[in-house]
Amino acid sequence: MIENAETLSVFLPAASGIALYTLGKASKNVEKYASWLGAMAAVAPVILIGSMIPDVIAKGVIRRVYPWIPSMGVTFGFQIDALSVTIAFIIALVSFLATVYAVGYTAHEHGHAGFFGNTLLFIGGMLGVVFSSNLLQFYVFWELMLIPSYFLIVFWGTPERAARIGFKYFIFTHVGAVCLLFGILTTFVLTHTFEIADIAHKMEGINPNVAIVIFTLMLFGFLVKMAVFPVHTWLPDAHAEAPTPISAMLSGVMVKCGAYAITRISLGVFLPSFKGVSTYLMALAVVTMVYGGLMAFAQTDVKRLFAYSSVSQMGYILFGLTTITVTGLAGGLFHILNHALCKALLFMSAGILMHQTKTRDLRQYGGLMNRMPMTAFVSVIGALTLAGTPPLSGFFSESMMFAGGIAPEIGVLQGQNFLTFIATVSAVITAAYYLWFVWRVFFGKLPDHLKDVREAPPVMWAPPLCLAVMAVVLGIYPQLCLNLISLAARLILGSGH
Amino acid sequence: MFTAPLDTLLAFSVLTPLIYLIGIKIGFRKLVDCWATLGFAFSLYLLYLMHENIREKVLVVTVANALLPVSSVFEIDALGFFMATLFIFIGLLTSFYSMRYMERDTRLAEYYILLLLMVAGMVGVVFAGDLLTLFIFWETMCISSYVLVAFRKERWEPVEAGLKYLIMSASGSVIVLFAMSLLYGIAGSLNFAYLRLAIARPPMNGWTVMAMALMVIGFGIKAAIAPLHTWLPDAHPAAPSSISAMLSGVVIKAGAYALMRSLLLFFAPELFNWQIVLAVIAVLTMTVGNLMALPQTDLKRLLAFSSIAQMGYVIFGVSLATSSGLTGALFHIMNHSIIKSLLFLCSGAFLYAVESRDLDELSGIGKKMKITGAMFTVGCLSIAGIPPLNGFQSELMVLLAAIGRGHQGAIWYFLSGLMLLNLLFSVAYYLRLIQTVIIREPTERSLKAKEAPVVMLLPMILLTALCVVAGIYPDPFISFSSNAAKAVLDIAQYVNAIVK
Repeated sequence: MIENAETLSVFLPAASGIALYTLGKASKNVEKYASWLGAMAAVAPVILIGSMIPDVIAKGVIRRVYPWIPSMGVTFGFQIDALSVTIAFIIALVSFLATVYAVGYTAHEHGHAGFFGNTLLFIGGMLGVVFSSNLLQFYVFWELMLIPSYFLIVFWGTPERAARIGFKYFIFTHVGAVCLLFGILTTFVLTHTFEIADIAHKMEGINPNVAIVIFTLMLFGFLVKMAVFPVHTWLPDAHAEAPTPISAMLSGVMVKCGAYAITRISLGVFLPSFKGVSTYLMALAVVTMVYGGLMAFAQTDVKRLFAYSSVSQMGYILFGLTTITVTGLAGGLFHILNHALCKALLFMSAGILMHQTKTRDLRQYGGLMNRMPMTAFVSVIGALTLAGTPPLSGFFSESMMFAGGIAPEIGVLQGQNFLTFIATVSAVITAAYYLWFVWRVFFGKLPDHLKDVREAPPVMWAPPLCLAVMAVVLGIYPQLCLNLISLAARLILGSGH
Repeated sequence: MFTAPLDTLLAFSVLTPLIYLIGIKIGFRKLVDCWATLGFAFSLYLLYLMHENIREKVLVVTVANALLPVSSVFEIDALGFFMATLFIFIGLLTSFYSMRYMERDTRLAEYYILLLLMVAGMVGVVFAGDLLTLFIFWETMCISSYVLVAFRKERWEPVEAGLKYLIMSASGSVIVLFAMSLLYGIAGSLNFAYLRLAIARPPMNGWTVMAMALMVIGFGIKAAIAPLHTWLPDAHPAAPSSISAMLSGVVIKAGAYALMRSLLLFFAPELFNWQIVLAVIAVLTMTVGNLMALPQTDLKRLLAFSSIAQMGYVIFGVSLATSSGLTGALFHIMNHSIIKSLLFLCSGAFLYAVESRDLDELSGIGKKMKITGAMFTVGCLSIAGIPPLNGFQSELMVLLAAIGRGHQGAIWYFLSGLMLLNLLFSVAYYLRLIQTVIIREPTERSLKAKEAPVVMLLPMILLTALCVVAGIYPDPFISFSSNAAKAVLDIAQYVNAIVK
């Protein structure tokens, strides 16, 4: 492991983001090369976090704690274990590829220094959330992730709607964050600690009714970020109107921070409370899956389709987490990876389509297979993965989740088993709208107004191609990441499960 | 005579007209501006030299008539030092900023006399060791501030606002005076230490309770607690922006100080049980402030309502009457001084550039005034309690202290929840401010704007840096506040310094 890799991976992007922004305002030269400088800075976390993986497999859990506010007993620490490293790695990787993609996508946009500066700050915020070892620091980064993404949406999003949608995004997420804060502060008052690792056993003596209130407040904050029905309404707006590389990051990795937080805090710390409500949460997950899928069917805008598909997919992930079995949780975590890869990929293809055809209306597309072979190829891989087609990686994660959901001690169509059955059926909806998307865009007759469309430059199709290759490799050989993932699932649920 | 920093402020104030004349004679009109800034800087330095004298002890300075218990004394503890530091520091920045901001005005000699005198009054209030001394400096502060609000007397708005402020605030002073006379009748002294010994012991006396209520009302008018806040949204926007920064940044804090000192010292919380009543008033204040801020279209008026809401958070911290609650309240006093001064100075820069405070006309001005716009954004995010900026840290401390009292009654959970809702609610209008100033397309008027001059930018840059530093590394700021909080709760030390 590279010395201080965890600290560097959080602060390097954040600091270079601020530097890029200020220097870009001061110097024309920096502004001119800002996009490549940004992409170069974004590669650092990938290398740093990659270097942690062997250590985590060898040593298990590594914690680094530094003093921050001694007068309040607050520390600044990093928790490096199988769970945080897995999620952090996928965040860093997808963000890096999205940044490279943005170099091509924003070539004709204004304010490169601002765009890439904010993007790097956003990456730093997400990695900070994942590595935080105490709740206060976690909250600070949670909000730090919101601010740059808000500015990215309002400054570089769809011009007419960006300000209103940015406002909605901010307020929704902030409502969740404030509930989270209330939960965190009450926890501190009861346990006198913010350290995530210490809370679980200090909560043991606490009245379960109080514990469930705290648990619910915090969970609400996470569910808003994760965009679970019925607090999902910000997602289709924000993800559709954000600039496309940012949509790829929002849908690809930012919403996963909500799933990570549920795994780390709701499952890891409040397991008894979680068990009490897991069936209701599972029902919510299934509703989200079906609702998101049906809404995706109705969309005519390519980015809104993917955004609703994200809602549906977050339902899958929540389903995996609510099974509270090692298989199901590992499946959920694996699906976080797969969805991060494929949704980022699909948003990038949507960006290419918009960039090359100047429209985002699905009804205007058709027969683009021969015009844009690369885009067509990667989109088909992405769509098939999320539709759960073997032998692509989505198939394995979905089957693990569904297997985890089946409880042998109760009847076939009772409670949890019934929900698992509905979830499995809803995979058909996912497959259907993805196949329809592929058909409408790439097959059929090429309309006249698209006769002159050409393939995008390599800087735009190379990043999604990398993601597609990874999806295929993980599908054929899932063991590559399953070691780490099942380690993470066992870490969270303890060996007794 | 009155301790070195206060003497300096008074001396500089008195000599200002002379310097103004000299400046005109030698053809350097900015001399008076430099003089006032120098006065603040010198005073701040002298105050800093005092910090050894008040560490873990109380400094007693006799002003007049050494015969206790009817003498006039200063009793300076860590709390007085804390507040005085804030007052003089913000005064220094304001005065520096005024060098350019006030250049289009005449009568600058009066302006600086009043500014120095107002700060001197505030410092005297926080140093005072008896009610008479406090009242004299209180009136010095009030009278200077009435005139400063109505400084641009050729327009109707400042004059009207100044008159309203005068009437309400003078009524407050009279009520305080009445409370003082009641207390004198009960205790036979106006000295804080003697009052404490006479009042804070059972059995309870109906007259003391009445004196307490009158003091809360009288000081509460200055601290703008609801429903006594109505003068503030008129007075603060009408004043020149540099003075708005002073009024919202520090002058209302003098009211909070007086409330804090009198409630904790004379009217001992364990005996008078004012905590829950004060907490309800605090929550009412923040709710009124936030609700009223939402529909405002005038930038400075919006900021004024936001000050009322922020005072609610401060009073909420005071109402806990615990060490952690007071630390949070004092830390928030400090942070709000920094942030609100920053925001008013930024709005002053906008006003200076385009002569408008209407939010519709100011749309997109941050695109032309990039540095001011960026600093304004930091200020808005900070006051909205977004981590890791300083406003978040102190709001967090107040909340934490309030939730910590939950085991004494579910009402504290309920009130903390209401405060949290208020925090959430306030984000909406701060976000609207950010959107208006830096995101919307510029209007014709704001297209004409030019970046503010360096002299105006420097104080704002310093305040912005403080917002970030106190957010990321709050420890020294928290220990400064917690020393002050400990001092205000250490009644024995305070009393023993006078009554041997």
